[in-house]
Amino acid sequence: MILEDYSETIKKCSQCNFCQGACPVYKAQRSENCLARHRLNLIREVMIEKTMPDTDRFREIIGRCMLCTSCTQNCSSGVPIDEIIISARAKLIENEKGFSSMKRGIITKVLKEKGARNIAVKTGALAQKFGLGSDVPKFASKPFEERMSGTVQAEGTKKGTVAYYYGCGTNLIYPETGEALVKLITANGYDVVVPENITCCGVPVIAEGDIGEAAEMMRGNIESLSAIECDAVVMDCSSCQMMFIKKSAKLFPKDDPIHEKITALNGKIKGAMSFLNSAIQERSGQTDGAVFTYHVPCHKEKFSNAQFDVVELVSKATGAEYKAMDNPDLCCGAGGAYYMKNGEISRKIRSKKVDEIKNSGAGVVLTECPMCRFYIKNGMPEMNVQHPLEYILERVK
Amino acid sequence: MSSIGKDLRKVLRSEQVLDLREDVSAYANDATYYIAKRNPDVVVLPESTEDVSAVMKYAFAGRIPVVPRGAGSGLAGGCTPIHGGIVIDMKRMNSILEIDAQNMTAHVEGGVVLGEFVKKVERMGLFYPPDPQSSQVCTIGGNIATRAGGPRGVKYGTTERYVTGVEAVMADGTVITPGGKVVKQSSGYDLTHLFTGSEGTLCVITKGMLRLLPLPAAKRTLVVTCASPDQAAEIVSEIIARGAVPAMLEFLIKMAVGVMNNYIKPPIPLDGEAYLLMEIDGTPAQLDVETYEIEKACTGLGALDVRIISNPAESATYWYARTRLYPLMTTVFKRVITEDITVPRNKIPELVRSIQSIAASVGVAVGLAGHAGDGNMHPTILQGEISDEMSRKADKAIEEIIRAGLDLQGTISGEHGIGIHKNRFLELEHGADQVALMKTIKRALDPFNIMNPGKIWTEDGGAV
Repeated sequence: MILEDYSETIKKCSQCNFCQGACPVYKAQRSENCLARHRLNLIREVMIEKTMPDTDRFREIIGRCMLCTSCTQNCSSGVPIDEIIISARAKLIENEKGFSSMKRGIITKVLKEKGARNIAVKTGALAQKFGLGSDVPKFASKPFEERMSGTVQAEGTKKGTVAYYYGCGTNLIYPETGEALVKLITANGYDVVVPENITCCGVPVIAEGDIGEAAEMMRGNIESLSAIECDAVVMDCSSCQMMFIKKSAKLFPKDDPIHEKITALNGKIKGAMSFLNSAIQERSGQTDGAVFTYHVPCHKEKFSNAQFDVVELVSKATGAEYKAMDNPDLCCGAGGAYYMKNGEISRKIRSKKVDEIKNSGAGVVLTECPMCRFYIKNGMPEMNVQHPLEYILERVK
Repeated sequence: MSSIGKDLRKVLRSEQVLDLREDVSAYANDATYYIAKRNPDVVVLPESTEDVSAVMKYAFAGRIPVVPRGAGSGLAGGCTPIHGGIVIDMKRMNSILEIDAQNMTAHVEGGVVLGEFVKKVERMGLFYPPDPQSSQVCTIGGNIATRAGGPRGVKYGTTERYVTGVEAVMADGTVITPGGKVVKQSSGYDLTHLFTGSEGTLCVITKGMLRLLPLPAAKRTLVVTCASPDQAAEIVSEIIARGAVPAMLEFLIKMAVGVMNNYIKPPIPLDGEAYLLMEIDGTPAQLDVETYEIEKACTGLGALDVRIISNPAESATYWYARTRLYPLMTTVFKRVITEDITVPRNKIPELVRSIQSIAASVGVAVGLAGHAGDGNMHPTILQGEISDEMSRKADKAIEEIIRAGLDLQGTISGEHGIGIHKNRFLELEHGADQVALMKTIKRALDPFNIMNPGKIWTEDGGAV
């Protein structure tokens, strides 16, 4: 993911301006300086063709992208917009010293060094990193990694073994998601291996342009997961899954031997929802009037029916009724940690989401992404917001 | 900070005014970046008609050029600020003010996104047919200003048929509201339709009153595989001659279908040289009658295959792919210039033959696609490489195609508008007297020539 690698693909932008239809930041601001087309033009002019100076305003505009990938997924010209922005950020931080590089160092440390960290340190460091105390998700009293490890046996006849890659959101904020996943998958006849030597997938780090650090994290993860004998590797977070499947190979030079392992591993990676969807054959839930709605995280594959695997699974497993909001795949405004730096934009984006959720008439909002979950709940404290696996477990108990 | 920006910050909130180079360059071009690109001095983001009026008063007093802008997705350079000045970005004025189901009318602000409006009216069982294939982003104000069309022209006509009134801010900031909610009106000049298609050269369109139809009960998609572009063109004529009126009748060469297959599930087999993609709508009984007539026309002229797509999810992939044809072609070619020639419908076979022979004699690749059902073709000049020689050839091909279209009693633009892309050809179509009259009207409404100057015609009457 080096900017020079994209000097030709960046020219594929046809200037059609259809990115307006996808960008949540644009939809909140309604001004074309937020658009992917404009960011690509600026990166070309400032960093590739060097016909415009590198200014603070330029950096601000490049920094204001949420990396939700909606524009990339919507782009018919096939421009990998998010990757171009990440690689531009990487280049912009190359010579950067001082406060922002120190902040990056802290976040990386917190996300990377699992196990050894004391929760208070983590919380404090994160809050410091973002320069605020409130609006930061509260960490669980005991992280997932301290709750479960090793192999958890299947119930009944064993059908196979899966490895479980849990993300930082599950580990630090919502360990109950991980517990639900292990219970549901073992209940469906699979051993679940909870690996010890895994770390952050790197999504929060590449957002800051730190590709080298992300590559190092990913290398460790790939080595650890490849060493496990299993039929599938399941993930509960759509951002982690995107990082493994769509981005991991791009973090390494072409001749790096890691690519073989990446290819093999990617063949095994499955979303926990679609994995359970094929494991659960029959409708088991009771219809009792419960109504849920579903928020599609941005890093899930949009513009395809695959994004609604959760709806299919929850309906089948619990019998609850699905009521769609107007735009299930409209961003909630969180964008990982984006909202911490861009509060006003994020709140604008969220207010539309909150209205749509209210209008859906559902009693619970389900979403896989821990940051969407936190940020939606933060915007409507009275609403029940859950990971679908927890909701399923609660209702089939 | 520019002085215009400083002044406008007294009129609007500071956040509604952009004048840093890194911001205003977002407004330097529409989709035709290769024709012209220029940064405006200032961009304003009005939120009300009063805002627009205040900006116009300021510009009028200072004789500053003003370019109204919708989504910036145009294909003629109409909103490119070739003289700098102020761009009025209308996209924050995006309220749907009223959908009156009883009268079947809607009142909207100019910045309303067409797709969002359509979604809303269709939920109410109503129908707004014009769809220039960019409905995900294009604005209704922009549609009105360019008289936008799209594939439904064949059965439903284009935007001007649905506009019954506008709110317009004139060059000096005066706000007027010609037309209205009535089905018919015979009082005074029809200013509504003078402004419809005026491409920002007469006024800023801040609101539109629109006519709606009942949503057709059913629809069906048909795909016809043809042995050659000629055959496809003959079939189009035959379908029209038989009295079948598809809601959409699209002509596509193999290359176009090839790139559209990125989205079409399952993909269309590429065993023809040209294809017709159709949608018919109406009552189920009407659909059966039209399907029969279309199939007869196709088999009678030897079409290779006629497929009826009955699964709505599947047919949706065809029409989604069609909306993405322009950006999709840029994945194959470095530059794609889209023409907009439109002829009487029975002349489509002749036009298709002329275009093919022009492409061969000039030595350029020309993709044939278009809304053939209403006589509107979009021949696209496809450039694999960008060079001066290629540009010269492209210009030559465009001029010859335009002349061929005019010889067939056609028009140089069916729906994209003129902008700066075709302004040198305007006199060729309308003649000097008619263009002089247009200029007289323009001077009366915009005495200082501040409204989107340099568009529609060239000052010297045209270079051809």
